[in-house]
Amino acid sequence: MASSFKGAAFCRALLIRLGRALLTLWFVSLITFGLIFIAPLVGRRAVNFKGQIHIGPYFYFVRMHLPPLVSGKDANVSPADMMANTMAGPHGDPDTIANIKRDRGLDQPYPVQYVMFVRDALTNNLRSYRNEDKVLSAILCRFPNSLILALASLSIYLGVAIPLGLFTAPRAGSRLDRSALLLGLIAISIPTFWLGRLLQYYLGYRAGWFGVGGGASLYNLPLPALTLGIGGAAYYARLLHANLRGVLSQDYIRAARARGLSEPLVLGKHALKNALIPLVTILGLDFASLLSGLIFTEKIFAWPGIGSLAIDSVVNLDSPMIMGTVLFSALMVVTANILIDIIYRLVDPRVRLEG
Amino acid sequence: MLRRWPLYLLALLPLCNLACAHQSRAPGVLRVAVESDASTLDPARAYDTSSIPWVRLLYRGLVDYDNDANITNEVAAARKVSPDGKSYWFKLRHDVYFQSGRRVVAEDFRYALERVLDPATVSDGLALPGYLNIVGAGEFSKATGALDTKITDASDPAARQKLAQHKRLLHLTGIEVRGDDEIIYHLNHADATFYNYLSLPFAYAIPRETVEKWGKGFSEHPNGCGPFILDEWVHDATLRFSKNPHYFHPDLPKCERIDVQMGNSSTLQIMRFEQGSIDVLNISDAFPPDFLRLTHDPRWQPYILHAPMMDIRYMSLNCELPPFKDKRVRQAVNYAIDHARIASFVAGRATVAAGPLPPGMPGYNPNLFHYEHDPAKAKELLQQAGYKDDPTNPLVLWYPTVEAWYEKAAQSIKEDLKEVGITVNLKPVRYPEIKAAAGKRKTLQMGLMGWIQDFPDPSNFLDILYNTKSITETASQNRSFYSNPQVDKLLDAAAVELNRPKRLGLYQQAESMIVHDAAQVFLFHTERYAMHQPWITGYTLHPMWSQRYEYVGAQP
Repeated sequence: MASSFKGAAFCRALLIRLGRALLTLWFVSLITFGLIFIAPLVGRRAVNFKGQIHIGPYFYFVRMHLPPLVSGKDANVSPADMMANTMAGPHGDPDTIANIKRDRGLDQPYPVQYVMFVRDALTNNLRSYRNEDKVLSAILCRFPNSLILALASLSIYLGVAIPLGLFTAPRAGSRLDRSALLLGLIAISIPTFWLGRLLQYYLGYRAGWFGVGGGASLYNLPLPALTLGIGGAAYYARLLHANLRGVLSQDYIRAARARGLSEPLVLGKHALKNALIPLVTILGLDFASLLSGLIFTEKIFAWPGIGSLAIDSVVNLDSPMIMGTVLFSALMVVTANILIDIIYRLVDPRVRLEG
Repeated sequence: MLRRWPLYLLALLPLCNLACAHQSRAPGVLRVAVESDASTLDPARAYDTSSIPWVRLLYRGLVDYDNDANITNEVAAARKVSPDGKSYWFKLRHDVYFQSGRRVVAEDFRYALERVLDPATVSDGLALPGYLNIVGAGEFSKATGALDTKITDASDPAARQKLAQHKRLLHLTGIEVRGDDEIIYHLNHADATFYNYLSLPFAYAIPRETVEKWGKGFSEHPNGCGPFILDEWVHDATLRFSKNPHYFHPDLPKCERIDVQMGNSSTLQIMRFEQGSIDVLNISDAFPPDFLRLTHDPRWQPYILHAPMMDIRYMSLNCELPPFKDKRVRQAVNYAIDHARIASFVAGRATVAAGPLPPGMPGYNPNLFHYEHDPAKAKELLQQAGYKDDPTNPLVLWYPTVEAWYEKAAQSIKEDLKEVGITVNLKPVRYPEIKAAAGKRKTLQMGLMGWIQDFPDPSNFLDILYNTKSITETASQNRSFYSNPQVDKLLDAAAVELNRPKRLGLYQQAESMIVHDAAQVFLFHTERYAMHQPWITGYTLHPMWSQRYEYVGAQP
């Protein structure tokens, strides 16, 4: 009786989580649509009507995040016009542009356009402006590549962090531990675009140990994975180190030691299990962000994942694809959050999902 | 359990490395890496270097070029021009088939140009004078455009079908189709470059049934008669072609497959080439230290190719604005600038220009007058012209920030002109900005720019860059706004002259006058550089096409 009641509570809590996730996604879709279609317009009106440049956050956003306009005369061109112009090419006459706007629904009022955007996104009818790709299909086509890279990076995170944490935590404060922490700090601080180039040059090109990149293959996997893995591994090693130290001072560890269990068993079984639990949240979110694309790493190694898709669409002003990749990232994060909640309940029965 | 699963994942990594320790090379497969995705595979929209090489693997036209840029027959079996130069007659080969298996007929060539002229196709060919010169082209374009504005709901398949039916009834009056084998193009006025226009992908044979089946998706579902067939296209990632067994030149293509990987930066391409994982490499735009290292490496010496880019890099001098209204000031600027130093900024991938026509261009004149670097003479000319420098109101030199050499050249020019007493301010701008401003009248005083040929014919440089006809209010290609009635007369006469030597002579005369008038500062002509692996055969640089992969073979 009691257990079925618990199951019902769990389902109820899960439904509430799902509801919140949908709400979040709806907000993200609104914001993405607004930023692409409406924000630039508001910014430009401020410039036009007052006849002077308005240095406000809006204006900054417009100037920084959208390609600058060719001349002041074009300032009242809406993003929808700009997209139609891009599609019509340099010789498009007004009729052609009008036809394109009509075919793509770019001449509709914004609420209608938003509804069309959501409808198309849900039914996989959102199409790229650059080619005939459907946005969701394009993302899913690249998803396996992103997944492989994310899994490889994650395995480096944990493969390095767990032994390192287990090694340093009992030796907290020693010279070895402090130098490990310092090295870790350096590794976390290295920017990936620099580390990636370095690894590519020395390990790939000069030493020839790994593929230098250029297409998704297992041969090309180690270097991008390492680029992402080094910083992540150091971060998780530090986190685990701190958690382990906390756990090691607990009574039950002392009790385990008192029972005469060997130190590796105490550390590896009793302490590690509990020290890993708080890591799950961060790990889940990191995994979500790895899945939704890594612009620098993917670009350096020409790894055709979702990150390079996102940046290619930004460069080419392909707004349906931009909106699609942003929504997909949001979906990944939201899903990861729900999964984390479920995993928590599984690994730690004390945790309850409360609405 | 939780403790162990990361270890399972970790086990994956060494496995991957063992499984594919190195990438093996299969004979007959050509591996290429490029930076950007093909912009399209639709011939009607292919007008840039990221699309034309691939489109030409899939589609073919009536005529093409031989190795020296002379016109040859391709799908045409015979060709003839009427004595007045206004009608071009072709007879087609019988053994040319689309991938779908249907024979290529005359109607397919008419349909190709009708599609280009239809505004809904959004083709760059719609603005090319060569196609608009076909009888009835303008009217046809208007009529098809009017049909498009009539439909209200493009997502309705019935409406689309009706539109296609209406369009099928419309024909371009200037293209006469006689049965399956003969086609005649009628022009409004004689044009000696019409063959060149027919050699562009815009005029290649297109099957109407495939276009109507796929609509806008035609680009992704090509059906042509070229040497290759498209196997796979993942945007920004891969492009794979395999040999077309029914290609009408039985000895071509030389390789079985082409694997193209996209999104590879220039640096990555060089690393991969040196490691042997790609077969050909373009180093025209490579970072200068990389370029010098590769070209000086004895290992690669036998495998480096170079040829003229067929372009001109120039500094425009606006002939409608002071002080460049005065010919003597323009000449002075030409004398003042050290051309050789500017050419050195691209690490030797350039030849100093005397005039606009690049070496390798039919009609190129090696004995053309050349402005030597002579500051004393420049000062003298400025004095004669009565030029007064005003440091508080300097001349403005615009340059685009796309390539590194522009900035260096601008600074070098600024110093050179300062030495002869002309103060210049530099204005770096984004490329679209300078492109838009340079085309507007009386806007830009001086600007650094370039022009690359559409096809190897002098008219494509001289008519476009110096004819008064190419001056427009907002989108002028004559960016010096140079106008000389005598030059115009020579150019107009050459445009309709069908006798080739006589025609090229007229162009040489015109070029010489343009140089003497100092219409602009002719800086340099770029050289293309490319490399290939030792096992690659038949890789050459062509004066028209950036790549001709059908001739390239990959030995074991």
